[in-house]
Amino acid sequence: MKLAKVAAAGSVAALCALMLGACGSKASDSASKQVLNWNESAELPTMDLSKATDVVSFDTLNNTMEGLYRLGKDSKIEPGIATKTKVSSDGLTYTFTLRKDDKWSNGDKVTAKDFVYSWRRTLDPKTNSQYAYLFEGIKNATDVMNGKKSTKEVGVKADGDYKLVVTLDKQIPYFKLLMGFPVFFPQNQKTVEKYGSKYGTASKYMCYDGPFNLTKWTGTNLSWSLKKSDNYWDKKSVKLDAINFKVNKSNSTAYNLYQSGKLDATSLSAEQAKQLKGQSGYTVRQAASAFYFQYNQTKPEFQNKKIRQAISMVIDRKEFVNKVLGNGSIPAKGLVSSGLATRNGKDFADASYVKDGVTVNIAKAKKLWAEGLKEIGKDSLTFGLLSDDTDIAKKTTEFIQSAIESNLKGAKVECANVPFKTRLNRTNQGQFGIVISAWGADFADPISFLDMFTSNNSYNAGKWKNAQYDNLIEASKSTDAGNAAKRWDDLVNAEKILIQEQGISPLYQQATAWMVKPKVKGVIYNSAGANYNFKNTYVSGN
Amino acid sequence: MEENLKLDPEAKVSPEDFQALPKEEELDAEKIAAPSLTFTQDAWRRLKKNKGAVISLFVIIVMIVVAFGSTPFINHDTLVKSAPKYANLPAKIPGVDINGFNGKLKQGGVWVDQYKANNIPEGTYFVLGTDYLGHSLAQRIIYGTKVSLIVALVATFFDLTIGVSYGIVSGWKGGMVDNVMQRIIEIISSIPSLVIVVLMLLVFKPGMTSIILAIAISSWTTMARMIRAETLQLKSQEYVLAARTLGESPIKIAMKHLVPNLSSIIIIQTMYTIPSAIFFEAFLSFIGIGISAPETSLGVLLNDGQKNFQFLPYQMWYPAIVLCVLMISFNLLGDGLRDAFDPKTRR
Amino acid sequence: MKKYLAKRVFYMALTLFLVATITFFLMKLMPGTPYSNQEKMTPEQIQIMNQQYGLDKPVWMQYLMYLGGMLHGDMGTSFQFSNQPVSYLIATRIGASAQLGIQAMIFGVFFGIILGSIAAINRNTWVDTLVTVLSIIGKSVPNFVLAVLLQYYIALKLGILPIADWGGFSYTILPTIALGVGPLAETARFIRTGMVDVLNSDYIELARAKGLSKFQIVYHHALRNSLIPLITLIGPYTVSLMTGSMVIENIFSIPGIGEQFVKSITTNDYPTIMGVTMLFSAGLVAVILLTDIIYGIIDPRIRLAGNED
Repeated sequence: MKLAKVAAAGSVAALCALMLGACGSKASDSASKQVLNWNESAELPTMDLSKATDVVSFDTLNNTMEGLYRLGKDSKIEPGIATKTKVSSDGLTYTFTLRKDDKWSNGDKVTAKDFVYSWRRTLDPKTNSQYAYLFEGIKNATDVMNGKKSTKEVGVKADGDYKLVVTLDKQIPYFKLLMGFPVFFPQNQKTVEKYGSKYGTASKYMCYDGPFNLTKWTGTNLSWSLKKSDNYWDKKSVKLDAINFKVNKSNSTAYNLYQSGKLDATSLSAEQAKQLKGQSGYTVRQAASAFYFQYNQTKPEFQNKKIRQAISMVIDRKEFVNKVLGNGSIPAKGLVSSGLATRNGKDFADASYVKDGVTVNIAKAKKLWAEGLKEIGKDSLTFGLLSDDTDIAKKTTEFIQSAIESNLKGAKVECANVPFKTRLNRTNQGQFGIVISAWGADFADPISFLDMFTSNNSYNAGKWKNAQYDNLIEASKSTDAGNAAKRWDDLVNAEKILIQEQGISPLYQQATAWMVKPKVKGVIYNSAGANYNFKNTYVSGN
Repeated sequence: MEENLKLDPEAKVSPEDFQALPKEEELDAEKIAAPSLTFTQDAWRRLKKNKGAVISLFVIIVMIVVAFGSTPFINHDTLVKSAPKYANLPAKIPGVDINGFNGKLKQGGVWVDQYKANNIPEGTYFVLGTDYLGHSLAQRIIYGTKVSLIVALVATFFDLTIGVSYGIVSGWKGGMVDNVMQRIIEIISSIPSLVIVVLMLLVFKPGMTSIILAIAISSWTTMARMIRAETLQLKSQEYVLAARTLGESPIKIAMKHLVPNLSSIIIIQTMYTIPSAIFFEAFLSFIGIGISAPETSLGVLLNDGQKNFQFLPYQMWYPAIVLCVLMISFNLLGDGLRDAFDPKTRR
Repeated sequence: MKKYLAKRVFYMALTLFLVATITFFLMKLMPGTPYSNQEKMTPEQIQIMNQQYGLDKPVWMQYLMYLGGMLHGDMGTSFQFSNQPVSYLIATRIGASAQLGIQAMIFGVFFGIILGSIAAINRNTWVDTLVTVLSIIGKSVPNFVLAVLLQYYIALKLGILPIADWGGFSYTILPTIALGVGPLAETARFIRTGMVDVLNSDYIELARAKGLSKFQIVYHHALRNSLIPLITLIGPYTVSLMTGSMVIENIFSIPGIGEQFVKSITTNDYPTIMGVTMLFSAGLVAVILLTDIIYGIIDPRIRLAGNED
């Protein structure tokens, strides 16, 4: 027995020694070097821009690659590789003149051929790109994507090394915005072919033409770095030497690290956000996203407009975002998120605001509910509320269930919080009463949202149908596509119909609260598309 | 004579000093002095002597009564009502002014009265504080205890029925039967239980049914393996061999000889099944397919509390304390039962 | 012995085959596709993708194709990490999980045996009660709660150990403790119980009568005999710890396999689900075989084959 005890004591001492050693050797990070330590909440799954599907990949691509344009503050189009753009009078041909001074990290020059190669590769069905649909509208893109035409027929051509000509099937009013999205960035053919199936699976199997080069990424690890690139055409405006990313999936861990100075920025959970609101460094990042109800309108109860209205009206969206979410999310004014698009100084969300459709009104809700129940000939109603299994989704369903059951007589809500894939599957197969869906815009244009609810769109899982709405959306794409004012009015009116009819009920527009050290300056965050642009970011003082 | 003995130990003892007892007073060597008790009576008598076990039994009974007795007061209708304006308030007990129980919460090193800071009307008390939707945490803990107890009981039930009998049969039969049965256990424990749970979501709704079935499928395998290992050892013991030789039926041997001798393993393993089951349920909630709102369980509460520990430590401490008290009681009672039932500790 | 081993290895292969088959078909019953951008893809696009990945073929055909791949050592490519071979994903992620699992088990079993023996020797005293209560608390506090407490008080407040991350022994200490307390508690309880039984038995009385020292009695007789139930427990426990704990990996930001596995199930990453399941299953059957062999060594009364009739 004694022996065992001594051994135990010895091992404890050894542990302590190791701990202290580890503690002593870790010197605190350099003070005012141009280095950032940034928290990510998920792994970087791929750097192959044809295959990327997630936020982390797109953000990393956005900072390591350069496309025709780079999106600046508020999705403003800033010069990238294109120095001059000529649009034909019918709006169907774009001619980009490219700069000659940008190089790939392997020393090759960035040319128009790299764009042609990249686009063809993404559209090639063999590549299995999940974002190829964004090319829709570019000549033959859809047919190529569906394997009906060869990739050579895509409407993109290199005219010499420094001229890129793109032809469209129909006008795309937001075409320039799309060019700032990583799926449209160039790829270096030599690199892709050299690494084959390994391409984009680790930092060494890649080639970059953007402000930073990716390093220390093995493909599956939890940390990686962006190092300032020497080949970048505008390297003089890049101030940071490096950005170190660390994946911490637990918000409390990340905040502990932030407090101890190991991280300069981290996102917060809803509860953390509530507690840290108002502290120095507290930052809210809006996302161009909408969370909304879809009612299963193959069921008679949800074909009844009054019932839909009543359900929407018992939800106090303001109390919900402030007290329950508390992370800077804002009550939805409509489906299209605020700050996404403006015309003549007016926000789209304000222009299409239907107050009645998204405001709490318990008295009216009760009345509508009673009338609605009478119309369908029932005195009580039990229905399912389907949603994701995330923390926030659970809080949402709990809050909504409470609001409905406490205010609407005879209503019973069965919450089902299931994994994302299960939720999608049930939604697509119509196995739900009400489902809380979410949509994030890929580019800053209202059509990114409104397109979903035309009668036969596959995203319209609730099967809401409105001919007038369909016509307006169609007009915005065809007859009015070249006329910005008319197109704007079409879309505004379409959204008004959608909300008045409660084809869907918008809930909130998601935001994420962050703690960012105040010394970090010049971070560009866009609510749609690739979110972060660190090109002009710097660290000031301490 | 007495004096004689004391003074002189060497004093001679003569045969005359002894007297023969009368014939009828002779002791009956075959008679058992203690009153005859059945197995259970005997166990109960010994259990009562164990103070820890008795207190634990009492605690468990109180918890069960409170948890299940609360059903008329704490049910779907009470749980579903939320009051976000009361969200995240710390404990406040009328007449108590100890920091932590008077509505104050430590924020940035200073105790701040959260009730005042949130303009909560005077006279509002939450004995254990509230959660993020303004539900009373006390109510939720009571309800959560009920759900966790149900999960624990179900797991124990399958452990004791399937697990024990499977293990005994496998160990006792040996040979091919044992071989097949062990391979089945390997297969069952290899298939990820999460896959099974996700599949169950297709058939059932998320909630108790799915959890119970998932537990039924996988929880008993460890018990079965432990029991088999012990049975292998026991069946070569002399008393089992003797019983076999005497032609006792295998079922009788199992009930009379094996189960009592396995009881310590059974009880300890059960004591570990209970927290494992409760944690399994919590894990399912962690990934979002456990109990669905507005219902809750201790696991869910702990998991929610864990995330806010930095700011609202009480939301983790209270359910953790309840769970610990429950577990300690179960275990001390288990120890008591083991000592009471196990023939090896009968002295 | 050789014949027995050969037989067992054959059964192992059979078990693995059955696990692969059952898991494959169960997994295919799960709803949804493995595509992460499924929400934004039209049904036509999904159909084209399915053709590309061979997911439009009947399930039995996919199964045969998978088995064929497995025989050539090809476990397919992950959907979560595009183009990343599952074997690479597992290889880069299993290390951290396995190291933590083994450390936690060593920590748990070592201290568990010590605590359990101390309790048994001092049975029915306050020492015994203290060990019992401590081990119950160790087992009844979920490890994520313990992890949060350790991280907050030891790493953040005292600052003596890293908060999270993976980069050397000091980073493994807190997660090892958080993971190891469970096995520690179980070991302590099993050792205590087993040893109390043994200490009451006749041959210990004999050993005592022979004048053996207390240490010799505990070490040579009592401990050895209380190990049987423990071994049954430790094997599978180690395998499941080594294949990762999602919660602990999450809290300490450890690049392990546990989190990936859970994620692969919720995102229908079929090849990863199969890969990790097969790895786990192989580990489990191997450990069970090992356990059965060790039984024979520890307790000669248990005949290896277990066949008496």
